[in-house]
Amino acid sequence: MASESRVLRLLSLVAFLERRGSDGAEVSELAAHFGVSERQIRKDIDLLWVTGRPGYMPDDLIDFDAFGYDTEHIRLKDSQSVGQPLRLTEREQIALLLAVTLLQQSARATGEEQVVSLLDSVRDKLDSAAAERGSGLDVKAVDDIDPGLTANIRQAISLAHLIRLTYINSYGRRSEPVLEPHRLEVGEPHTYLVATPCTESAQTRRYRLDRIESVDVLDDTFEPRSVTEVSTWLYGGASDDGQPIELVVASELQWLGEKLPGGTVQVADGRARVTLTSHDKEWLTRLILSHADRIHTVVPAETALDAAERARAALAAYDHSGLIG
Amino acid sequence: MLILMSKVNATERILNLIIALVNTKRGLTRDEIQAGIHGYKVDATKVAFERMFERDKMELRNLGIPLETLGTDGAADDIRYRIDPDNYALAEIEFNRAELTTIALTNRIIQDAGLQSELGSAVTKLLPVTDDILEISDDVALTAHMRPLGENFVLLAEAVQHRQEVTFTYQAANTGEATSRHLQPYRLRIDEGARYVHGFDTDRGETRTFRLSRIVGDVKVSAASGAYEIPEHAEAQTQIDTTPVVLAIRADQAHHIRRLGCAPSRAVDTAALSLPAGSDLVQIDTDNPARLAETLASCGPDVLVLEPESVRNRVIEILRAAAGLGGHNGE
Repeated sequence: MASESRVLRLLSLVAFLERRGSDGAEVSELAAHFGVSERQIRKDIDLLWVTGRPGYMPDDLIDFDAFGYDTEHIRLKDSQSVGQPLRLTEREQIALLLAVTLLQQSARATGEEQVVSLLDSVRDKLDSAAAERGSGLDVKAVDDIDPGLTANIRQAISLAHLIRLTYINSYGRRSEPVLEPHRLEVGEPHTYLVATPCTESAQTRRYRLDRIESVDVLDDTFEPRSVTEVSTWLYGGASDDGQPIELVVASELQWLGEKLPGGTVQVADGRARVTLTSHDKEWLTRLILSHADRIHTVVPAETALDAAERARAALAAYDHSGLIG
Repeated sequence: MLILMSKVNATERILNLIIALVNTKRGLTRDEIQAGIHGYKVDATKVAFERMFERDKMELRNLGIPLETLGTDGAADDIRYRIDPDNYALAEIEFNRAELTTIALTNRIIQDAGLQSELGSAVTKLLPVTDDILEISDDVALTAHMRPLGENFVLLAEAVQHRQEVTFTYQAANTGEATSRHLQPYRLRIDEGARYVHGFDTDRGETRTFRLSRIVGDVKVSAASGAYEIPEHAEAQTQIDTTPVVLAIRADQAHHIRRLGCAPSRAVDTAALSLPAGSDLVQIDTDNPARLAETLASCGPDVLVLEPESVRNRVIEILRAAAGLGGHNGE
């Protein structure tokens, strides 16, 4: 791999200098452009200087302006017909198109309008340079966010004003927290606001932008600070008491143990024994309710009592409504 | 010449090979390559040369430099190799500093090591197509965590480009049973954090959409390219059929469910029902009724399913199982 990437850089170096023509380029410019040290650029030029066509007489070799080389300035005299930029492979085109699309959607979600419009022109150029076949890709990695909402939050972040959100949590409850907004982050498929509630000993956490019903930018300001400790954005909760919970579930639910923080899983006889060490009570109740018909046992059994009680209440509601025939 | 005496490294040999093959119209035979190109040992055995040459051909392929073979109908020793300069070069394209800087930013988004390296070489190839000197700065305060796309995604994207059929093992969502599938892939889709491939299932004789996370192991891509045509309307078909599910949600409860839907698209007759007072009717159009049923069950008495009956029955089935957990009897 290392030699492949060096070959690429060497060929791109020749193509870049070919484009520069008699103007040439400073060694320091080449180092900055190709993201390597000046020493490496000199080694690259040294190597290119001895490569060429069979025969390998002076006229057959890639040639630079020798005087220029001594004076930190490189000018290409003969590219030996490899002065063209290299075409992209299909994998490279796919990777580039995907990355550009994903970056653009992320930039749009966080209101980085300048990046969005730059990537528009990049995509147009890549499209017109690509082969006539379509890409066959439909990408919607990041959910659309109301740009007005994003703009308000960005403004509050840059001016360090507190905000009040109307927020729907993952259990469907509405609250109106007052927050110090720090930054926007894109996670697939949701965009998040990293913010600290203005209550005592409150933890900094992520708020999903698509769950924000409205935002008020308040007159109060706060002292901006760098925030690195953000509580986990998975399943929203720390452990209530740290007591491990064991679930014996149908094997297709084994992902519970693989995906959840602190989870372990053992599979035998078409069943999986999942142990969770970190959970939030409400989250666990809802987890059990979602998958109840594929859960064989829960240890300790009391853990499932809330779920069972809620299920009975729901069945009673169906019955009372006349929906169970 | 002096340089012929010195030890030549692999990078130099590959460059010499590229330059030689770009500069020949007629092409060079293997013998000519061994004898004439600086870096191959003239006195090496045929086997040793062949091994080195095969490795170098592979490297050219990885670089995306297409090798042309001429005289393939004659004896093996008469096959000639060349690089067509027209196939070697990038199409006419030019970027300014801001655009190229933004392209270089894209590597913040991709998590897959394989794709990162493709992206790295793509960026290196684009570095010559500008008059500016690139300046990478951290001005853009953009943090994005994309899920890895997975090697299968790239394999399938390539297969779509080349119209190659693929085979994979697929785990059915409802039964969990793994079966072998044969597909002519049409399109790939990234949506709601999931990756899908849509195409023509040759065993079932109809178009199907598959979730990449349910593909077990690697996708096998058949060698033959141009094996099928992609119909023009394939794009529209990647939209999975949706089922309208109508719910009664208790007042001021389950706002996360309300946000998934809207008011029912047609009148729902609730006259014969006695729904909880103050309930709101909400319709969700879902492409995954089984998954939605699980989410609805997790809301307990806050959400009741009115229709369709299949989703309601599924929710009730889950709730009955839940009622029996924790040491109590179900009904």
